[in-house]
Amino acid sequence: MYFILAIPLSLISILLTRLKNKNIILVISYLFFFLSPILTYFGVIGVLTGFDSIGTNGIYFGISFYTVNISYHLLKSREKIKSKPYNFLLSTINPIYLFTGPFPNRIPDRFKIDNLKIFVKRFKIINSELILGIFFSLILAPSFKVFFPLKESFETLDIILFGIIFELYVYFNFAGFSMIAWSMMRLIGINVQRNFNQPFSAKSIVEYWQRWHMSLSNILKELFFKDLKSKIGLFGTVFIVFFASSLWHGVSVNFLIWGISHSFFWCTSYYFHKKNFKILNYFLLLFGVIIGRIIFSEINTEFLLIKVKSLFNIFNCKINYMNQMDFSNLDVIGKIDQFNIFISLFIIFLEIIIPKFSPSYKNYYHLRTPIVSTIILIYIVLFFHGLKFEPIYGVR
Amino acid sequence: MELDKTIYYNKIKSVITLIYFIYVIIWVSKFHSNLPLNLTNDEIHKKGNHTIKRGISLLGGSNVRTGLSSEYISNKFYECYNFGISSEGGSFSEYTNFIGNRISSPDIVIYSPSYIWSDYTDNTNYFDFLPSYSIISQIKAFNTSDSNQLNFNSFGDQLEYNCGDRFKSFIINEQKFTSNNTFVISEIIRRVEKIKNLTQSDKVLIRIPPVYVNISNKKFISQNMIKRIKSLKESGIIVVGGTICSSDKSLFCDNFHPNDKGRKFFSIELKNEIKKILIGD
Repeated sequence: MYFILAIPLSLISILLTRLKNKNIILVISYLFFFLSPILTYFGVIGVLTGFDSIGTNGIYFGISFYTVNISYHLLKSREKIKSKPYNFLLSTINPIYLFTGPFPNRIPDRFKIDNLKIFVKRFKIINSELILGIFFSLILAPSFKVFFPLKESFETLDIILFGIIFELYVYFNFAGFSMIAWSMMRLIGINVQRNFNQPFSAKSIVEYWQRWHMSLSNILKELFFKDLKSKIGLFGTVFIVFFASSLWHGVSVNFLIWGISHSFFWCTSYYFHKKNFKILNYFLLLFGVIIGRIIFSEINTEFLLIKVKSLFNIFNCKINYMNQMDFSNLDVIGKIDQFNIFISLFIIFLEIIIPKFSPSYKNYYHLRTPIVSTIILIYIVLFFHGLKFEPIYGVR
Repeated sequence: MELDKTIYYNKIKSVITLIYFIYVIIWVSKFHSNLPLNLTNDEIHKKGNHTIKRGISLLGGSNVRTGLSSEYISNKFYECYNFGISSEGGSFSEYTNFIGNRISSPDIVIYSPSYIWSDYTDNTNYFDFLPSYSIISQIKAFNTSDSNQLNFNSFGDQLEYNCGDRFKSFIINEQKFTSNNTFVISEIIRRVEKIKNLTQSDKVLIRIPPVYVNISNKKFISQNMIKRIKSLKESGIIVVGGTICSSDKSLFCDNFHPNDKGRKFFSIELKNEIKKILIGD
């Protein structure tokens, strides 16, 4: 169904590259970027709080991804679009990345799926990434849903706990589906950037954003950061980048606050880095990520304000929902979920610890070694109980 | 050396993947019924071949199986039988096979489709065929003599259904109504027509399965469901009144399944609503 909209928009952008007036192309490419925020504002498509899985109107499926992709390529790869229009069209409407990214930051020269031998060879190399993606998104992430009722609580500790848990849920879901999409695109010969690179290995907010949703960060850098930095300075540019990012997620008060607060955290982190305040920078990372996620998840402004107010009320910390949750008498699936949460926390622990001893460790290498990958596959096969395909960014 | 290792482990991975595919084939094939965790077949087996030729037939998924009591409804009223089984929401064609030779010209058919709460348009879950029980659960169930504790009384109601006194909403599954209603409505109409043909009953009533919702969303959700009900009524479908959504956790186990107290409450409510319709006739 999404072809109805995706193909005409891609064709329009191909035709636009024939225009000689570069200013018109510039304006239209930014219009493409802001198309999904406009549609969000008018309620045509939903926001990306992390609670929305597949289920929106099929026509708008993937619109926030391919419009940004079109915008980026119109600005950066006009000549390539002109010379390889079919490749641009196919890579733009490619459904694999429309669920969750990563954005294809290069228009492929050709789609190399003609040779089965090469396909098998690629699969032998890439399968560990695919297995890890399945493990993250379909096994580990759903286990965190057990704590979702915490979102309803206005008690300080419940809110903080929800922030941590929801960050982990979003991470495992988003990173996992991104890995699946990345591997599948690599299999058909499309080279794309990874979306995640162990974000919890970061030592500061600045580094965290270099490791989280990297393909979008790259596009935002090209569309906003590079040109504006020399004109309005670093801090102003960072504010605009986060503002644009917040609009892309949804036109609502919570995303506006989220964007402003993260730009503030980023600038503070940059200042701490310059002054070499490492410990402060790490605390800011923890604080910023948790607070950011709480703001990100709460679309209801009234509730958001109560929660923010409650967060400042640190002298009256209470746990409400956590006390009410009954973990005794769990069924088999409940016990597996508990164990999955334990594994998830262990993975985060490794993510934090390993780079401290071996800085060259990246891209989840410790989880992609042949033996670990095989153990993970055995775990998946034994404990996999039905597929609920819920990429949290795949709502539109 | 590193390459040898990779080749060796890739072979192991292929074998493991093959084992899973064999499990999937067993799951989707006729061998499926030999698996211990085969809830639908177990339910059908335990419900027996009870047939109903008059009175009230309650049709639907787990919300009917656990959330309505034919025993309460039939007390000093029409004979009533609960045909709710858990697979209805997932596979309506299988469900019609189940009810096809068990119901014949009853006075009233109450169909309580959880599908009415669906937020989908044309998004099909292409992975529905994958087993919903893990291999480890199946192995465990083979070794457990009493793996399934589903039991039904002579009215078809599930016995010993008690989800405890605490609300266990592990998944906040709140309806957003982002999609067009048309698809859902036309699917419900199609199902009602099929039930009419199968049961040879001209009185097939739709009942909205009550759900738990957060108080902040109650107004929004009710308003949107009322729109769906209006569309159904305009298409000539009779919709039984009653609770659409409630924020009373004491009535529910989770968002879609009433507890024991809820079951009593909603059964009595349904009985009164049927009475109202019959008086109207």
